[in-house]
Amino acid sequence: MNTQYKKGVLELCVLSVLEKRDCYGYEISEYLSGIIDIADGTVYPILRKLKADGLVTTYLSEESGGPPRKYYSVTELGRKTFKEDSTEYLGFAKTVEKLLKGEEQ
Amino acid sequence: MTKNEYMDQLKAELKKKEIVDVQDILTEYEQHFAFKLADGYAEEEIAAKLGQPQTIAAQFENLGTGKRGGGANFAVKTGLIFTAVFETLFAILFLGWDFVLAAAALAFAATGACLIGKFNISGLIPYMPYSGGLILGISVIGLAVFFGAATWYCFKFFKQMVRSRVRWHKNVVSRNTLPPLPLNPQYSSRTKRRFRNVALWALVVFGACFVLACAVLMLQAGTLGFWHHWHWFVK
Repeated sequence: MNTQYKKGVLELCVLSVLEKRDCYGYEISEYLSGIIDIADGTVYPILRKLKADGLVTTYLSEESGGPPRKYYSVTELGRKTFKEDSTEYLGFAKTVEKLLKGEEQ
Repeated sequence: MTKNEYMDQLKAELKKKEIVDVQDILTEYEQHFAFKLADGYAEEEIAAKLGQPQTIAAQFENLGTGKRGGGANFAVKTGLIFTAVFETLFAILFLGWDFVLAAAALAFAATGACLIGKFNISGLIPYMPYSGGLILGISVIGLAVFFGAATWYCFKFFKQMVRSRVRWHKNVVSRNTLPPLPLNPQYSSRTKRRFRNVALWALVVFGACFVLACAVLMLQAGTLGFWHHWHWFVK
């Protein structure tokens, strides 16, 4: 699959995970690499980009035993972007699916 | 690849790509290793699943703030050089103008001093009674102060302009964007007021004394064209 294309979709996937609850980087990496075929390391650049774009923020949380974990939390802008982009993506994906299956005239 | 090897390579790659906040990124990967090791994976296995350090580092490129692009490419750099050439020429011209102002200020100051101090170097100053000459001298000193102020401001403007343009060039070339600088020098309202007062008073002194000097000279010569009376412009 075209990596550039995949990257945009992966941003959406990461947002969808964070939209439900705050996570630390490893959690997201583990979850996504479990269901999508990506290298474990690719999630961290995406998280950083989302943060740079203001879609997520981070905070440190002390855990019992071990270093503080950096949690990612989706912002208001992130929520809005996710809603818009996911609707757009789903519409697009539906059309592509039809097209590829030869249903579209 | 062991954990240390992986981290070292990643660090080197990130540094090579001039990515900001390298330590922050490395911490994430350190933690990734820590979690995976706790789950019983071998270092080599974890490193392999993470992806090549070069590939990972490349993914961190161009997302410094999400807004700025990467470093300047060749076309941009060429454009910058052309801009710099014109800017340099303009700066030289501007500095030349400032030198002219400074020379004028010095010339007026010297003339004023000669008139007031009754120095007539090799007869350059035509004859006039000292009373009229004194007032004319004060008038010319006023003009000198005005030109001096203009010289000072133009020089400050020149300096600030150069700084501002240099900052702009640096910002276009590098990724660590610094805030842009204003083109004109910034002063407190007190300094501005003072500067305005000095310039204005200098001009007023010049104008008033010049008119007064002419009037005095006319009276002393007994004619409106006092310069004819003393044969000023006749060899």
